[in-house]
Amino acid sequence: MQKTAINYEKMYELLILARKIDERFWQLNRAGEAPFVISGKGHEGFQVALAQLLNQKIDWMAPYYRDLPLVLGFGETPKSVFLNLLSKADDTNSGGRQMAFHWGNQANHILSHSSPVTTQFLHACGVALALKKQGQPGIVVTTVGDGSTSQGDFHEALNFASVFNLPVLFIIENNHIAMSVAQEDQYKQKDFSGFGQAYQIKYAKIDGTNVMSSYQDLQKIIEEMRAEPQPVLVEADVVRLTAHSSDDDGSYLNEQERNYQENKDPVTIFQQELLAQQLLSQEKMTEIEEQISDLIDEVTEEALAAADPAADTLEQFVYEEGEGK
Amino acid sequence: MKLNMIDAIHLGLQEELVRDEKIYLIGEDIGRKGGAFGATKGLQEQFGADRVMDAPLAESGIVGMALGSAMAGMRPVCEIQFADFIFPAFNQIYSEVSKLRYRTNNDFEAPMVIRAPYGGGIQGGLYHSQSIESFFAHMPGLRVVIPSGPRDAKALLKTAIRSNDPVLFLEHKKAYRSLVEVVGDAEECFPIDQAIMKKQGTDCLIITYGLFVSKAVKVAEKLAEEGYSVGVLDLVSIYPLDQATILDAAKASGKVLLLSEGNKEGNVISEVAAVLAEEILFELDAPIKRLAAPDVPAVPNAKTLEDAYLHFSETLEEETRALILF
Ligand SMILES: Cc1ncc(C[n+]2csc(CCOP(=O)(O)OP(=O)(O)O)c2C)c(N)n1
Repeated sequence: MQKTAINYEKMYELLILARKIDERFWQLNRAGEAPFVISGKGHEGFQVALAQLLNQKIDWMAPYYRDLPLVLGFGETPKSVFLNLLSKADDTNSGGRQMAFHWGNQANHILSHSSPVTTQFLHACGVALALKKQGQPGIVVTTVGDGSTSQGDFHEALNFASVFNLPVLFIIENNHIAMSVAQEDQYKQKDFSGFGQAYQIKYAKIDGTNVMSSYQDLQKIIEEMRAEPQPVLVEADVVRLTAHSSDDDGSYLNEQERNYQENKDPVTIFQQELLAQQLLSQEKMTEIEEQISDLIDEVTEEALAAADPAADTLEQFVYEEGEGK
Repeated sequence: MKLNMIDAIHLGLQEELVRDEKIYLIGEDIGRKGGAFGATKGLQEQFGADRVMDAPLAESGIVGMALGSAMAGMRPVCEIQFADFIFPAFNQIYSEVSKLRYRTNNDFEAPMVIRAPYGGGIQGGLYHSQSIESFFAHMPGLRVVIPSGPRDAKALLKTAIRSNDPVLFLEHKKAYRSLVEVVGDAEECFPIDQAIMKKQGTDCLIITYGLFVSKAVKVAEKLAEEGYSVGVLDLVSIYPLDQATILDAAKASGKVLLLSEGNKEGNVISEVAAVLAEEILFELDAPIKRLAAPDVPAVPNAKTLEDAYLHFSETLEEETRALILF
């Protein structure tokens, strides 16, 4: 298989775009414009790499709420994620029906997900099953937090994918905390390799805060999945650089947890590596950052001015229209 | 062709599998065994293991994976071995299946059917006898359909499979082999959102669904010999209710008896009673009567206890007569 050159600039752009959008989201939350923010800050590294490695024409994803960078790399525009944040009528994910950060857009091959965690793992299996039945290429990526691995759907999905040999890339975004509950109070395993073994599927652990190493690790895994369709379980080690959400202050975190997380910021790590290996100049980085800041100012204004859903659409689309009650 | 209900359902599934390649069946033991009741007997041999799939023993997995495949263009028909075992999938049905179209503002849809045998009177004990429909009659976005006989079962199942909305299709186990009638051809499809007037009547109306429809028709025939005109309305669509037909039929008879095998409190027939009370209370000539199972957790196994549980249904004739004479 011929390898295309790695586009560091594109990955840097996506990383900065996601980070700066996240920062703007929090500002809008504090300003009272956005009722809810849940952040992917600290989870961006592997997501940025993964987005480059997928082919949106044939691949699908079933993401969860920390995947802003991933969906931005999979067709969602800066404008569309702001419309989602503000529950506007033209929000392509749900037309303002769902809470923000609940993704889903058929045109972009992004499955719709709900709030109860981990249900999307089974939906990913279903899409992979459909691809198999239809004789189509493509893999399905689905993500979940580490606390969510306790859910039954997590285990049913891994088992179904194993039994039916479905090309699903299951990714656990392990930030070592589930809302406020520390890892050791959530599960006793040191890592999730045991699940790979239990369900007889390949397992790999990657440093999800590092764009470059994530790219290399995921590239290998995805190439293998394309060559020989099969499920793979990846544990991406990441950090949660914010509280759980805007409805949480994170005050329960101890000193050690705080320091560990702050030392592993994916943006700083990528910047240092790009400069050290002379893959992107400081000037270029600054230029990218400025352009993105301007873009974000622009779409913030547009999204704030966009129309809210009309109240009289409340009863639309319960059933296929025209049939109805 | 005269068939019992399980064979009618079998034929309906077979015809639909032939008609549309996007349709596939998935469930526990539906492959080489052909299902706990034989609804899929021989279908895996005929269509292959890709189209008639034995699933691992996990209901959330069956429904959740089916939903994912429906989002990517397939039309799954799931079999839950017994309705009593649907609850591990409750979250997938309530949070995912029923809400998909609404929450995506019509971007995604879930064209899928979940079939499940329900009901007691077969000495199945607590967990092979339950009437679980009321739990699912509170989920806008989902349809709950219950056929009352072989012909309806086949013609309703086809519409359910062809619908672009999700349908929970509940089949009374006791109706599987006890009812036999001529069924329609491969293109006979009945609307899944309409109640069916099984018998016209002016003195009293029995509203029920599933197995009890045939029982109600027998009672109506018996009372006709006494000179009473008793109507029977089959709800068919447990959710959403076909309110227009219910109200018209009730007005025509003036007295209404509601019959269900589920526990009485919180039963779907209570919703029917509420609709009648709200809309046409003063057009009724007697209080609305509900006949349903006692409020005990489930159907016990011992024959004496099972009979005691189902005793209410044995009183249908006298209760109907009493209502007529009210
Ligand atoms: C079934 C369910 N139970 C509880 C919640 C509330 N809740 C939302 S996120 C969360 C913690 C999730 O932790 P984890 O899976 O580790 O993901 P993270 O947020 O750390 O990325 C909880 C308890 C929920 N959304 N769904």
